[in-house]
Amino acid sequence: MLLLACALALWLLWPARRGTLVIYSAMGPPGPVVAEFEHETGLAVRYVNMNGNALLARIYAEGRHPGWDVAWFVGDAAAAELDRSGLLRRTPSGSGSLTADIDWTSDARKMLPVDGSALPTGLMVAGVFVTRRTTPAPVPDWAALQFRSGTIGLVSPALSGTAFPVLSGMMAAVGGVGPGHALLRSLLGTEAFVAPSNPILLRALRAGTVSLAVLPSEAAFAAAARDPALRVTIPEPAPLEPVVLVVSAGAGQAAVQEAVRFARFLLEPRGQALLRAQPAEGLQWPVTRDATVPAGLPALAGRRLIHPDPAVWGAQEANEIVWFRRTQDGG
Amino acid sequence: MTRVSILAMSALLGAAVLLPVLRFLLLPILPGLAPAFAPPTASVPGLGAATLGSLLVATTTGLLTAPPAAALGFFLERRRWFGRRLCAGACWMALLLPGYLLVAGWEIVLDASSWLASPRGHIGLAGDWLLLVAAMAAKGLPVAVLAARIGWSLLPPALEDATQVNLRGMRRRIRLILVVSAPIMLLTFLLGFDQTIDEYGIASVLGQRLHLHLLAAEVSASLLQWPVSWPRAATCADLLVGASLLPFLMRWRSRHGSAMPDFADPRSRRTATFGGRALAWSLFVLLAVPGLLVPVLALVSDLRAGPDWLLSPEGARGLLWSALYGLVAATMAVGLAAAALAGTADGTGRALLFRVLPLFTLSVPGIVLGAAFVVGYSGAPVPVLDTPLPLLLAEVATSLPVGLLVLREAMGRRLRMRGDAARVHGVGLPARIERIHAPPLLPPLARAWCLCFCRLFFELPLAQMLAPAGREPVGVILVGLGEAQRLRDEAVLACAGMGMCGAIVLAVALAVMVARRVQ
Repeated sequence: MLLLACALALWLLWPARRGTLVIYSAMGPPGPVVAEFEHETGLAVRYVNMNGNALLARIYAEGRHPGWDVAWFVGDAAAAELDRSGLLRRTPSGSGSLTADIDWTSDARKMLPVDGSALPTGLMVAGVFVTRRTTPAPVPDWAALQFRSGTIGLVSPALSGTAFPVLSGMMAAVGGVGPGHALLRSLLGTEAFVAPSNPILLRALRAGTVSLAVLPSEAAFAAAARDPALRVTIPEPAPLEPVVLVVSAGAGQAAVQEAVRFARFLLEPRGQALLRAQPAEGLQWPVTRDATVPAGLPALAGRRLIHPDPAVWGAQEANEIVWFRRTQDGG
Repeated sequence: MTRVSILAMSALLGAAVLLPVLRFLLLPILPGLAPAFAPPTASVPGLGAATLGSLLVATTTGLLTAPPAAALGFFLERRRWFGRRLCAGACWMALLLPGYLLVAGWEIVLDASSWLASPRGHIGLAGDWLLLVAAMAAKGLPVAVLAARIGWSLLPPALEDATQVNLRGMRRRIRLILVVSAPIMLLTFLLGFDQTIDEYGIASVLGQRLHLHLLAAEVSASLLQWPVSWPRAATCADLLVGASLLPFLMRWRSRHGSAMPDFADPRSRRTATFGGRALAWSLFVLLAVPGLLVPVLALVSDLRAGPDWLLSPEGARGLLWSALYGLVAATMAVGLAAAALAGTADGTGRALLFRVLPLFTLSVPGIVLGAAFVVGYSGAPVPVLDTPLPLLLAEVATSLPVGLLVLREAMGRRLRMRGDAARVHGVGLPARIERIHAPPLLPPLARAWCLCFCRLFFELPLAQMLAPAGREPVGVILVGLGEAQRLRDEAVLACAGMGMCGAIVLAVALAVMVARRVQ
């Protein structure tokens, strides 16, 4: 009987693969989007939610034998690196018909990779300043961070998937790697607080341990919506970062078709509306003209926006994270 | 099952475990062994700080825990006192409490924001290290106590009587006691050192929070965090294996290296004096309060902080997956241990079991096994990383020594002789198992199974590295909740998990009781 129970347990533990769209996601719990997609298309989805870094590590570990069809995460730099390793399926615009008829916003259009290896589903400002309303409002300038009194809080890019876009955005905003290193060195040299995750940094900010936290806009605006005592300041220039959806190079033809259906569903007005309905993960600027900006997000029009080059920062990612860790350790 | 099939299965399992481990450990010197596809290599952080940090923390923890552990081990093994069984039970429970839950419980107590989430300058670097050593000592003390108990069980009780009769002066007696207890202290220190250097839960959660790098956490960081570097993970694993092997080799050379415990007959224990009882209770408090009571009570008390008692669907699924992994792996580990013990009478087979297996278990911690499997089972010829097989195999491999230790005494020679007698009288194998072997073996088998199951239920880091996506057991979800600072959800899930483990152990105990009555 025990052996039968073991056999049953093994059967239950074996992940269902056939006829299922497997999505590796760093975008939080599935929410209504996945349920609605399943309902509308009749397709079965295995939605696997994990930390951004763990997601990328798993994709690399699975390598040429991927267990996933679609991956959904923050940052086109990481997508560019996956593409360079040959792990993504390319669907060039026009020929693949994935992006041809979509009414992109001008900001989103600039982020479409030429080879069609990634598809933006939302836009974020990679790094914004979060402060308590009881403290003076920060100067919306990256370089001014080093002159602000009190502890500056950052998230370690080695530990959090959304932290490297913050780092690359910050460096791109001040003029590249050299000036970026100088700014970070001055921040880390003083009493900076480097947290392992966004929630821990927010907790330190609320506790007063940190006077200013640099966080991705999604986490920052979600926290400010829950806690009116927090203030979000968008710095100038504001580094834009897309949330991207990529398709595995190892996905079969049927899986590719399903992946395309999922991508299109996300980009349709209803999909975009469902995305916005998610409490934290939905606080992104839309990528299509027919979707509305979620309440609580300021308009980006009129702001000075930059987009860190994904090819450059993707190639730099590992080196920059190691540099950050060494500098943080005082090396 | 014939002896040949047992041997064949053992050889297959051995190869499935050993080959990926050897390949992984040899990667730094033989890069040609790397899989055809590997993550892009980049500059990676050095391992000097992590190696030094691990050695320092392990040595300090070993030195801190050895004296109290040796004393408490003595009281558990050699003295009769009210609370001895309670203390032994608490010791096992503290041993089973995962390091990450110990940190989570203390985090609730200290209300993290003001302490664990403080910048380094707040308590200083020395304070950070002390905090880490304190947590490691709280987690390492139960292991050290069990090691000390084994040490005391190996000394003949007559030696104690002889000192009382022949040595009159207190100073001479104390000196002799110190000489006699030195090997036990050494054994305790070495196992405490080993446990600390391999401890993953505290190294990854608290070490990460305090930015203190330790080898155990660096292995997984090289595989699961950015930049991913398999060669770095392999180098780190080599260092970890080397550091773990050091104390084992020292122990191997000592007199007590290969001996197995022979716990004293409870009737032969002397009653502890008043002073002895007071000391024993103080040591019990030192073991149970920081390492078990405070974290568990903190998790339980956190349930009262809000009205929402419901488990998230993700948490409920995690409990189910944990129970299923535990069921399969514990059953396989205990079955294999029993088969191996039954199949190896004396000589080479037994020596292999009790010399080589502990060497493997002590020197190749779970984190190295997990990392080796990630690299070994990700590509050709066996790309099975997206199935539960690698995790189950690793869990069986790490639980096998536990099964052997618990079953060793019960599956002794007497039992085999009974089986031999029945065989001579022509009793068939099913009848032999049902009527002769099973009845006396049921309680120890159930004990071994429960121990393996509870250990595997909250297991990390194997689950973090090897669980197929979407089938993550409860340990992975708990660490994720801790990272997201959803401490209340973490407490609810941890308590539900502990409750589930308790209920399953109770059900197994009841089933064994009923089965014995029926027989």
